[in-house]
Amino acid sequence: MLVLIWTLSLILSAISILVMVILVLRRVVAARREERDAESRRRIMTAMICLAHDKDVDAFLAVAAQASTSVTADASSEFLGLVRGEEREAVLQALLRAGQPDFLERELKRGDEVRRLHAVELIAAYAPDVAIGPLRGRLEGDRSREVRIAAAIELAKIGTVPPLGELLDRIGYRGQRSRRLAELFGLLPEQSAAELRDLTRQRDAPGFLRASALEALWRRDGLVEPSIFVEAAEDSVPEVAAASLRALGRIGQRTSLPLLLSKLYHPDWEVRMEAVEAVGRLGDPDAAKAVTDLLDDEQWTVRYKAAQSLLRLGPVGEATLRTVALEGTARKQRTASLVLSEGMPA
Amino acid sequence: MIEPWSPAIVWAATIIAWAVIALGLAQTTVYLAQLLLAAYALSKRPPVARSALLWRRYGEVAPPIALIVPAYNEEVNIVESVHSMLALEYPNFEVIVVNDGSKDATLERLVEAFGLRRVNRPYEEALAHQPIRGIYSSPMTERLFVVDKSNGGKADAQNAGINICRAPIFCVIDGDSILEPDALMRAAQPFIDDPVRVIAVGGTIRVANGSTIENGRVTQIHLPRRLLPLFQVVEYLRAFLMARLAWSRINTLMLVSGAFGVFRRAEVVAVGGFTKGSLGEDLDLIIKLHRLMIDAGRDYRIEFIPEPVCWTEAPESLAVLSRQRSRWQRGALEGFFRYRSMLFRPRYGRIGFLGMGHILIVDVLGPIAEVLGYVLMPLFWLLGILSWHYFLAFTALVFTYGIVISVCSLILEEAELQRFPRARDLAILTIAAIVENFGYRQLNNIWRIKGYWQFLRQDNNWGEMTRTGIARKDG
Repeated sequence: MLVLIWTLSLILSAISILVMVILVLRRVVAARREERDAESRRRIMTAMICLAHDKDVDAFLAVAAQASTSVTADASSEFLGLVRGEEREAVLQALLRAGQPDFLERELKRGDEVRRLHAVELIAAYAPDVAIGPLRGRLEGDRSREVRIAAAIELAKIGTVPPLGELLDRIGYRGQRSRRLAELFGLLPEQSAAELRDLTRQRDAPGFLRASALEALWRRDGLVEPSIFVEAAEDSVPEVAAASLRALGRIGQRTSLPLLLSKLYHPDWEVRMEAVEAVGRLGDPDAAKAVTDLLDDEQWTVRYKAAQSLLRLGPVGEATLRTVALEGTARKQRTASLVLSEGMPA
Repeated sequence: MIEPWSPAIVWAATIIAWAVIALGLAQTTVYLAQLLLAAYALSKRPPVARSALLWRRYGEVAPPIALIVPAYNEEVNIVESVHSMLALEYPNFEVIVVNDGSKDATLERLVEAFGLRRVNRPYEEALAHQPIRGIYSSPMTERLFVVDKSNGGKADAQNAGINICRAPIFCVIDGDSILEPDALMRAAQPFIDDPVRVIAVGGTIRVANGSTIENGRVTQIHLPRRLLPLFQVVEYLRAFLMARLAWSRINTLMLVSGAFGVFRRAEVVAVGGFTKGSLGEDLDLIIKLHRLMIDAGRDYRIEFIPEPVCWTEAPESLAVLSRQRSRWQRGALEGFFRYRSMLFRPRYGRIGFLGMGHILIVDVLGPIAEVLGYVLMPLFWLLGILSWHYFLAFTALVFTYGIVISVCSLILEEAELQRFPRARDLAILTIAAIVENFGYRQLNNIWRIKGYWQFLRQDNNWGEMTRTGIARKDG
């Protein structure tokens, strides 16, 4: 046993040092390749600048032919982010002739996750007839959920996204929590409003998804009747109820004031916080009394939002806040005076 | 010829030798397992995207983050560090510097550099801390707040920062550290991808000694020119790339460094923030978070991702390094004994068995066994009590397996991340990874024993950390 410990340690240390020596040599070779690629990249960038200016496609193709397609793709990704309109179109046409979409399709099939994500974003820059097929392919069959979401986002930008149910089936429903999904919902076409509304009502769907759907709906003004938010405000999932109250405040649904006031006493503090903020946004001075009660809430964030809401209620709210700052109970008084003095020189 | 020793002495020596070897073996096995797990984690993790792509992809949905920077006697580096933090590439963040009653001109430097003015800013008194003397904002940027408070230690300052911050997520960073421009964006990614479960994220700390800093950014990466910080480069690689990545893979990460960690505020407030007076406040917080989430039966993740990089100045003198390592040891012991009830308790599952078990083997028993071995193993052999096989086995565990672990960490770094720019750097680091096992490792263990002694004497002195300032080329 003791000899084994010693012998094994010698073998392992010899192997590890040998591997390290090989890696150092590999790095020497890689450094030379990187230098070549950096030079190629510099030439490609210069050629693209010239192309955008004088539209000489042949000159660009001659330079691109001498560089590897991956270096061209890399440089084009950066350059396309800098140009717009006609110039961008000219560069895309030249890249099309240089065979970039074929390279990107290969990347989509064989690259690792980051390369596939990158290729999804790059191929979406091309005309829909070039981009839609590969993007649908990724949405339907990629093994990474991040790549599927990225493909869905790009398809939504182009305006050819499948129905929401199918989209969620493709992306994967279970354990879905990515904030990028909220971004995707926001990009869905107006026709998807009914599907998003249905999703908000789907009780077995994760709260995160339903709240994201509500957010996408209120951000697109007038897409659905405000009644959908009123309905969701009664939901038993706090995340959904909070999102709906936020929506009612943001769209300025004045008739929802009684509902918002009733939620000021919700057991979940995030719901109370959204309710009091929404009341402030509606700006009805009659709500000042109810909002004042929340200056004594056990949660600081709710107290702070209540004080800010009072300021939003105009002169009546501000006067109420000043009165509380002078006469209220300890916690109320402190919150009011702190918020009134916010940003003032000490 | 040496007189044969009595069987009782030989028997006692054999038991001691086997205990030392068994502990060494356990420690080596843990390290080798971590290496394999880290290699697996690196091979499975998605490759790194460029920061411009991250911004395009996540810019819209990135959550607000507050950077909390406790500063105590940081007059040398603080202005530079704050400049670098304000220049971070992140859509929605604020920087809260907490001057923890510095005795030097830390506050004055900040007031002068950023034209600070004292303002009122309401905040939640969720966590207890020493009184705040004033809150300052800058007319130059709305992102910067400076909190001036009475001295209460690092944890106390961090708690004050947590109270002041309004973002749902905060990042703690040392006042002398420099974040890579895209570090926040990378560290925020787990909070975007899995906002419900992720409660804390740690990134990599790298040694900045020797590198060139221009306008608050590391522009040229070089290895330290001095031996001590060079050895620490290898140590940091082992700690971050091997240990933390491995434990993160199985959601057993026990430490998110206080020098750079990102946390969800609500959970940190729920556990009472950083434990005041703690010498290992970062370890203590993570153990508390694990306990809270397990007790509440909540599904959660504490992640380490190697890409977000924070640069820090490593001690260059033996005296400062010795104080730092003794303090770390006291912190580990404090954390272990404070939460010892979690050890091997089935209720805490992998945290009780793997996480706390790892601290037991590596931090609690490891240093004692190793230092005991340095003294007794050669003695037993020289006096002829035990055969040289025992001595060889101990030597293998301390030196040759040490080389294997250090060089393999470097292999992981080069095979997967390649963050050292030149082949020459790799060659130097390989030599350092071998040489550090002869002398530096032993010194480290002696400092840890010193930490043990201080812990037993309940010496809670933090120790002065003298800053020399990282080499800068500022315009």
